[in-house]
Amino acid sequence: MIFQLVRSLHTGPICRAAESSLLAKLRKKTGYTIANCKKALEMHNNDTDKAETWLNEQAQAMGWAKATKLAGRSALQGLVAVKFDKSHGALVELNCETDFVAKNDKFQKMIEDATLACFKFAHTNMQSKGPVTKMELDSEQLGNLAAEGGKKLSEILALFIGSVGENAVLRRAECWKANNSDVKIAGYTHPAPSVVGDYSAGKYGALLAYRQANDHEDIGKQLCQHIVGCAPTKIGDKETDKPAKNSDDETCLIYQEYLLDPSYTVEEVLQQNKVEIIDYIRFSCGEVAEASMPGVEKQPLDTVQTVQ
Amino acid sequence: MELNKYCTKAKVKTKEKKHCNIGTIGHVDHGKTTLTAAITKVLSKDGSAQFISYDEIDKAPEEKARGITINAAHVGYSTKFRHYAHTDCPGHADYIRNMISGASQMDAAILVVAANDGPMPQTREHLLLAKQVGIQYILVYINKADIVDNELLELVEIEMREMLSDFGYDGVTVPMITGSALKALNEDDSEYGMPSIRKLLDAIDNYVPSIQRDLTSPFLMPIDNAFTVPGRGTVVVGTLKQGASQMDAAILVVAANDGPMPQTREHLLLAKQVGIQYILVYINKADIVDNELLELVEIEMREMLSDFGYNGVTVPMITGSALKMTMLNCWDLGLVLNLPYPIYKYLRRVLQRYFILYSLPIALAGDNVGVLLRGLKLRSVETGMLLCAAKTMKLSNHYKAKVYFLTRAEGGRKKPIFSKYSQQMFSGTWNIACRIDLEPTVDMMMPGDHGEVYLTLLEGMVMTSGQRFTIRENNVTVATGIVTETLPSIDVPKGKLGKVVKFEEK
Repeated sequence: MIFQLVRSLHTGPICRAAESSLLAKLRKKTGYTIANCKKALEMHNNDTDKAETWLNEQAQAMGWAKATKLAGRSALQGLVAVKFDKSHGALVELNCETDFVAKNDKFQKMIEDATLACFKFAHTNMQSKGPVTKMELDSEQLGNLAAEGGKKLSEILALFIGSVGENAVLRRAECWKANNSDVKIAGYTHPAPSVVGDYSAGKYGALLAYRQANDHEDIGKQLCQHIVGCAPTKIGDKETDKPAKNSDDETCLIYQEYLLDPSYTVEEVLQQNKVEIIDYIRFSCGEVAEASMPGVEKQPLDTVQTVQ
Repeated sequence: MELNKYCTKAKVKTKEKKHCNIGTIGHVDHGKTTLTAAITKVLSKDGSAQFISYDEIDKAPEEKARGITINAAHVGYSTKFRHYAHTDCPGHADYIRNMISGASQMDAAILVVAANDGPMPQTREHLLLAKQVGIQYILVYINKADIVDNELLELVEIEMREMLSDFGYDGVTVPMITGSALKALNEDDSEYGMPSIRKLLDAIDNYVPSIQRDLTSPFLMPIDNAFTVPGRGTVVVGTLKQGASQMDAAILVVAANDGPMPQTREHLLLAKQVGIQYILVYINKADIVDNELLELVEIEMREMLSDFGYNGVTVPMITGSALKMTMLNCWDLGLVLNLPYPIYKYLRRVLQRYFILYSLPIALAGDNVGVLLRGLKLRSVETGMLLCAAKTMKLSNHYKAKVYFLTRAEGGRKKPIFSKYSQQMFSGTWNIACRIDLEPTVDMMMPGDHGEVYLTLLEGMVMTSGQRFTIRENNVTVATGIVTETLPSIDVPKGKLGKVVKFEEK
């Protein structure tokens, strides 16, 4: 196709040698930078297969080099993704520098792979005391997880950084497992996809562990939506916490006005639907990095629930 | 009812230099900032721009004005042909938000690609944004051309032409200029240095057509005020708005003894929202303060203007006392004709009060006029109504719009918005109860989000595509928007917006 385009460009440049069309093909096939493609061909006497192999090997090393070089740059954009089933849930945050990159399908594939890896990790044999096993993973631990093909997430990340030239960070993840059969897990992201599934990615995400009797309609997803929309900082304890003076500033989940029906508090909704909240976690993309940035106007942080 | 006007449609020769909004788009490390600095460097040598260094452009992001966060540096420069307002496009959501609120706008874009990398994976996202926001004219500057050989340059050009065609641009005719922004910035005169910048500017001058101010559209004037002239009838007063353009210049009056007020930021936000490109500042009551204070006020105003994307350095500031001016004597009129047009218009209005200039021979878009409507009773007219040429506008209470919800930090809401959200909408000279409905596939919108929504107004109004508005809760702006489409009116049962059926309840 490129050849036809070249021939039709009578005003444009003329591609002379056969080498340059090899270069074009290699570049098109691999997507590596043009300069590197050219170098690869030169080093391997225009053997495109050898050049490609070399490029793939180099990509990993160059990815690491680029990742190191860009590591200091702030990465506040990106996505938060969630994957869950009845008794397992994974919540992952992956950052990059610009939201252009966050919209790119390579980025979206990477966060999906990372979330799947975390979801698998949640199926661990480890079990903590209590109704839910919660594992909080930091950047390093996340990086060590293996994706479907066997490669470590950190390696895939380095390759990605090499290709987009932007800093990217596997920021954090939460992997939850219900320890008893009566405990349920639900997840939600905003924006939510138009077709409901077990995986979604957005700017905000939440996981919820709860108990609900089967005779009532499941409201786990709706409660997650409330948590995403209203950002409570803790569940709240009737004995020790009092409602805030101004309902707009309420930070305890149980005292907040229910997002989907403000005429009730969350507490009332829980009672009506026979729901007991065990724990929840909310991620807002960029909040961790932003909180540690000097001189930036700080907005109230959502505290992360950690493993007991 | 016949319209009898003191003003007629005019053939206008706009004497001022044409204007174009342009911006850079591309990968963070490919040299957009260097290119911008290089453009100002090259033009500063011709005297038509002030050189703005890389650092000055680079440090600009995160200007937070009370209102919308404006994440872009604005740079101005002129070629022989046109004046340019140049901005960068660091983020997709940032750009859409600024575009909705009117804070920035691009008529054309320069896509910067480094020759050693070639287009990146995210270059597709850059082009996607350009298409999405309706940028029709793209030029490509292939940067860092000095560190690669010709073969590579040719390949990059071919790739870019292909990619542009993929996105619906004419890959064959898009101007592509190769060069090195860094060399140009260092005043290198070789082919890839300053000459490449001049080639780029020439290409922009020739390739991007001038945006015409719409002065030939039918008469359109929102009514500010109405009164009765004995023996004549009802006169309605307002500022001419023709087509989609309104005032393109405004005089911001600030009293020197007070300095800018807290709400001055709202004045500037409005100016930005309605697309006013030229602001002048008249620092009034200068006679009752000393020079030191005047200087301080000027500095404050220049800073504030820059916050809102105006060129704080070049905005004309005139100090004086309007009160003293109303005592202007006739023979001083000779001086006013040499003033820039907007000042002339201002003075003309002041002088009108003393019947020195009684009637306007012509009225241009932006002029404040009074129109005599014979046979119309005063009580039939109220502020917020619109006066227009017969049969040219349609009323509707239902529209599609792009809306941005301000974050908490910007003074907006804390909680998300759902369908059936009803508040006050403010646009132009009027406000009305308005209900917002989201697309059925959208659960909710959070503060900081932007997207397309449906508007239902309590009554039919006239809104044109591109018209801007704000939504306020208890007089606090929570959202800013721009109308994208007029839909057929929808029924509001018993005057209650809550009872409107937008999407069939499942």
